[in-house]
Amino acid sequence: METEYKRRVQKPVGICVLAIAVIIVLGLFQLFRYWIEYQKIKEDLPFMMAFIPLFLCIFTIASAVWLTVGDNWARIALLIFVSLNFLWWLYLVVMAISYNESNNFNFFYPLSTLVRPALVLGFSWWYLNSKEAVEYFKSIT
Amino acid sequence: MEDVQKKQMPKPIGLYILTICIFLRFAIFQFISDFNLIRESDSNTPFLIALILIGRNVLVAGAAVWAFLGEDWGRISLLAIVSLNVLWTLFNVITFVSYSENDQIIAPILSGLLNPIFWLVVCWWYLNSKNVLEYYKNND
Repeated sequence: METEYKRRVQKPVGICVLAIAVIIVLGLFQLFRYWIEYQKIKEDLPFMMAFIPLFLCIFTIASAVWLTVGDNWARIALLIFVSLNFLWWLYLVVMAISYNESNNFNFFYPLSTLVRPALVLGFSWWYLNSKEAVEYFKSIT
Repeated sequence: MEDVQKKQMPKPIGLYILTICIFLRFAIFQFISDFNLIRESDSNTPFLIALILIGRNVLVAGAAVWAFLGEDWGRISLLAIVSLNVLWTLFNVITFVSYSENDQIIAPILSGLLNPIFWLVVCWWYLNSKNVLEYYKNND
């Protein structure tokens, strides 16, 4: 009778780099950005509008930490939360651009805030679906 | 040397049904309701919002046809575009409910989310089922 052993693949360094980038850019930095933007609003902020960014940023950080453990579900969770986090911010940017009433509104500022999250989103999708990363997660699970 | 011939798989019947349903629900009916929404809106609808509303219907229609033709990228793009479409609706509902002062209209709006979420789940379940994946892999 033959016994099959799963070959243990060494953790690629890119996973740690990605987790740190996600925690900083889409976790801490994004939370700070929401806080800064919400300070500018004069009226009361509805509960849901405050809860959703907080929820998304915290779950993005948690899934990035989970990713370093090497669970395949963490890879899927990270892709979902990073995408939702970016898409919610994109939605707010689209709304801000569409419904601004100011004459001297600077379009470049909201658009520029999309660059870093978009880069991290692209890197996440590219790297976590690369052969190296998929092989590592399959070998662990 | 062995000759390996790919066996041509027949198109699963569910694929006909799903793509036609998605085409009708997310391209035709949604286009009509979005168009009416823009026309009946009290204030002017911003250009970017109108572009997104109409663009999403056109993209779903294109992706549904592409997936129907049996291309694996068509399947992936249909999943992505239907998901983005439902997320746009969900984000709009969240924003509307958050700023709404009339509690009586919240329940019908929330129940209106059930239909797109149902189709999203059906899409993800069916287009990732074993026989459909086999069909697309075989076609590639």
